Amino acid sequence: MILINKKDITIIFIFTIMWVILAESVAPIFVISGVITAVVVLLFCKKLLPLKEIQDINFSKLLHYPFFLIKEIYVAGFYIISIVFSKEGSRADIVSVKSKIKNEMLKIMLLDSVTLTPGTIFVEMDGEDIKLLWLRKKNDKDPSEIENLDEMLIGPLQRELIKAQK
Amino acid sequence: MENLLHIISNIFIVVGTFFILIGVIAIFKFKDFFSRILSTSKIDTVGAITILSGLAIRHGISWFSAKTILLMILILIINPLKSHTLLRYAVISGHKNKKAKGNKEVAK
Repeated sequence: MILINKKDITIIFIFTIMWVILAESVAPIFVISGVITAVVVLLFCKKLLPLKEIQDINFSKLLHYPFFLIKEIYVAGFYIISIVFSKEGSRADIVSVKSKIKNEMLKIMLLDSVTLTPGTIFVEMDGEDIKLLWLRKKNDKDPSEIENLDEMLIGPLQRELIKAQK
Repeated sequence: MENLLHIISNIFIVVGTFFILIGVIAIFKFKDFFSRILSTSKIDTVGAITILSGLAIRHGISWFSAKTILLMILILIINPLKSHTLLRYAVISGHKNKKAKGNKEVAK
């Protein structure tokens, strides 16, 4: 027996909206075919989607997060421009930082956000430890000498995501 | 009003193109894989998002804008996966940067 819960309905709704946008019409035939397609797609892909992992997250506190993330992306983008044109040169290092987030889904959101932000890419995660590739100016302090490296690289994003942790 | 939207969208498109240009310069300037992958992710995120925002503003409330926003969301989801996968397998396979003129340091 197929049980449809709240999460499934949300996914069917999102898929249907995508279908309607691609069809460029809100005629009933397109909406109905969209819902049917969304249900069929969900049936095939349900096992692959990590729906059970999405729990203990207060999504209402994350409504502003996309805007905050876009702001961070632009801020980091301008910083990277300064590195590209710096005369001293640049270097890329793999550094290790610690995350305070306990929820796995929120941790993945943090890592995705860090990768989206120019200048850092997520490499590996082992419990609290996160390895990141970090681009910096050649003459900047060595990562091992920087005390608040966690705060510098993931601090602002982490603070916003922790608010959504139940 | 339409003229104002055109001006704003043009500014967005020019700024986006500028970001992509900087990213391309970075690809040529940096000589190692790790620095290059960081600059390409910049082109995908900042450049593409800005240009797509400009296009969405230009077309106002329309199906085209909705498709553009959908594309933007897909880029925001797929780009980190792509960057992470490429980088992770480079690290796992033991890739090390060679010393080069543009970027003399070697990633640890």
